[in-house]
Amino acid sequence: MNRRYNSKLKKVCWFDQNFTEPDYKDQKVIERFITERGKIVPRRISGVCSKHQKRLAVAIKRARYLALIPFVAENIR
Amino acid sequence: MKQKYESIVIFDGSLPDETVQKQSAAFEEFLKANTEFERVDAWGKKSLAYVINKKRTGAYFLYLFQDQSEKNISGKIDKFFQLNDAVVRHLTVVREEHKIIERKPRIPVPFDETSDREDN
Repeated sequence: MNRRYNSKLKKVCWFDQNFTEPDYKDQKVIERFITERGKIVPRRISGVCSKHQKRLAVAIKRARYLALIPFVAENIR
Repeated sequence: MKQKYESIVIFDGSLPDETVQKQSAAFEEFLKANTEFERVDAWGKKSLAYVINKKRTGAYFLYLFQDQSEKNISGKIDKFFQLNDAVVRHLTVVREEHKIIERKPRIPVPFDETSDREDN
């Protein structure tokens, strides 16, 4: 199989595509990168680049502290 | 070194609006006295994602200001809110204003079915 043309499977970082940076105040964006349980989605699944995943992790932790997003989902606690 | 800061304060949502406004104004004056105050954004009342000290709602306020980093403004704010029961949570961080360089958007090369079939 010619891998050069198999780029359909290649994931592109959402933040690179949209020219934005992860921000703890932006609840809607952050909710895209947490699971139903409230865990951080690994970048092998979300496709976020290394630089932005680091910043995203900090943003998620800040948002959790400010009760914008839950530490653990309500129905599981 | 002068640095840009932002501070989010969550006041108790069960308090009447007047009390919350008074508390917010008091903090604003504290910032005006100690820092170069810029502006305040009121996000309004929101339900908290989890219960904090038996409180389910909070009034969110975002304060933007500048200060010398050597003056430890974060510690001062901690002390200011230490004995205040009306404050549920507060967080002061250095404002992150990343420079976004214009880049060409990476468009993935479309999957060419014909070339793949030839290979197989």
